[in-house]
Amino acid sequence: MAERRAGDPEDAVLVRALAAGSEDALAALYDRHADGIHAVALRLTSDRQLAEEVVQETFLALWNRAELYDPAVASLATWLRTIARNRTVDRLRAAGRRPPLVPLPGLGDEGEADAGFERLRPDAVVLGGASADPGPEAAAESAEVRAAVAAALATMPDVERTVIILAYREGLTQSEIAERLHWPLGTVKTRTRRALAHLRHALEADDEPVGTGGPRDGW
Amino acid sequence: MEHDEALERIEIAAAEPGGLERLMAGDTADAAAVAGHLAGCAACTAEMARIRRSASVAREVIRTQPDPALRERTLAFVRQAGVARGPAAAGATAGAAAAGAAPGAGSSVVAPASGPRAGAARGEPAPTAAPVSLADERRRREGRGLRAAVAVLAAALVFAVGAGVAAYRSLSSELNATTTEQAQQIDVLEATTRATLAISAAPDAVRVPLTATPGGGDAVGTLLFSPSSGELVAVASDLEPEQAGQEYGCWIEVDGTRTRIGKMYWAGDLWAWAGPVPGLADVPDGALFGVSLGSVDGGGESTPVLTGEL
Repeated sequence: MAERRAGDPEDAVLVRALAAGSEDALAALYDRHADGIHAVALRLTSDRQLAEEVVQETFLALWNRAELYDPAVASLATWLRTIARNRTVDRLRAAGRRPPLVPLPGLGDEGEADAGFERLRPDAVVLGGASADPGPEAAAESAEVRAAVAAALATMPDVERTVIILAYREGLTQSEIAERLHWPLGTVKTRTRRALAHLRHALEADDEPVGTGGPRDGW
Repeated sequence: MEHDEALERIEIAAAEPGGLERLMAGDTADAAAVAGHLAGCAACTAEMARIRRSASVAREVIRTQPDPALRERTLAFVRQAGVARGPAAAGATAGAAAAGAAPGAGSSVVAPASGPRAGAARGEPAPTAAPVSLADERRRREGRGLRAAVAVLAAALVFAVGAGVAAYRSLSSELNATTTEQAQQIDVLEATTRATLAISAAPDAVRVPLTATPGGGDAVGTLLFSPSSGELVAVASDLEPEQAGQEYGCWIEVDGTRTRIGKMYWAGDLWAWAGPVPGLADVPDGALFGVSLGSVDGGGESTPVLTGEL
């Protein structure tokens, strides 16, 4: 997902451009919001193909109904995720499946990014699981958190990115990764630790948009 | 066990599926050694909490990232199945709307000006390899009998908005077929009818007649919504024409606090709003829905013309 930088147009400006027929605006809005939409659908369905269909239909709805979006009512992210959630629930009901009870974070609009920010605060140490921390799923809803992870993945060496993708996206163990890549287990572990260090630095760096405190020794 | 060794084990475990949980269970020699170190080392315990939090978030973000190839597939799908947009779109819109094609779930009837069917409208040959909707592929594979359902929905569509469509067609015959305004009216009407059909199919669909206020004249309207889906559609007719700088907007009032939903768009002799309303499921009984005429810039008092109790 593309990180929004200072000077990038507001969502509402892009929606107006989209309504006037700009496919560039559609592409920019995809880059900005597709991750979050896909995540909403995937969490509800655990079905990657269905989640991809929902992404397609959500952006089709945005294109067809752009005039109905009112930034005074909700952020575009909230509007799109609501559409995605409804499309997903419709699909699940049509297939005779019961939608899981998954909350839709971000209805507070401006608070969306801040919610993810707060949930990564390292000083809120979990004690016996009794923290008010609502969990990684909610934190991962933040566009800034997603952008920070994407940026870290983009800038880390290929070998480190490969092992962390296999571990987190495909759920492989270190031994399974070593077997698949024909790398020594020790090499896989070293590269995994380095990849995690990159990700932690991105998520915890003080000067980043998702900054969560001071730099840590050893990171 | 030293700090570095304990942290290395924790970091490796953080990358394994369920690794930290197994480590904390302490049921292997390694895990027991780490647990023993953590029991007496507050710094490593705190560090483990930070590692767990960062790793959990990173895992969730990476797990839910879409396939990079989905971007081009989605843009191509919208190009193929989306409504016409832009100055060159109006002619294509009118033609395709008359043809009544409706590809894709939740889609409207025409392709964008730069898309394949817009090209056909300009007399250009259609490309041989049009992008395909993932949903369409799945439907073909599953061979669902959708035709009967489509026929029922089409009948319901004609019934539900027949008056509006007739009025629109009557009006549109008098308009220049290439105006952007006409294309927008088609979009609004289609979005409204699609929303009406979708919400009507919901098991918790609620229909509320909207009645004119003393200042609303002959205005009539209907509100249809589904609390579970959060979708709402409001249609009104016989409203007084808006003056320059004015617009009709709809709102929900709970405990005396009025929250604007959006602008009512004009389509023929109908005004309509359709779309998701965040928090609709939590609106209490007795809340008020209404349509008001107010200033486009939101300034000054708006005048309610239609209301109905949710």
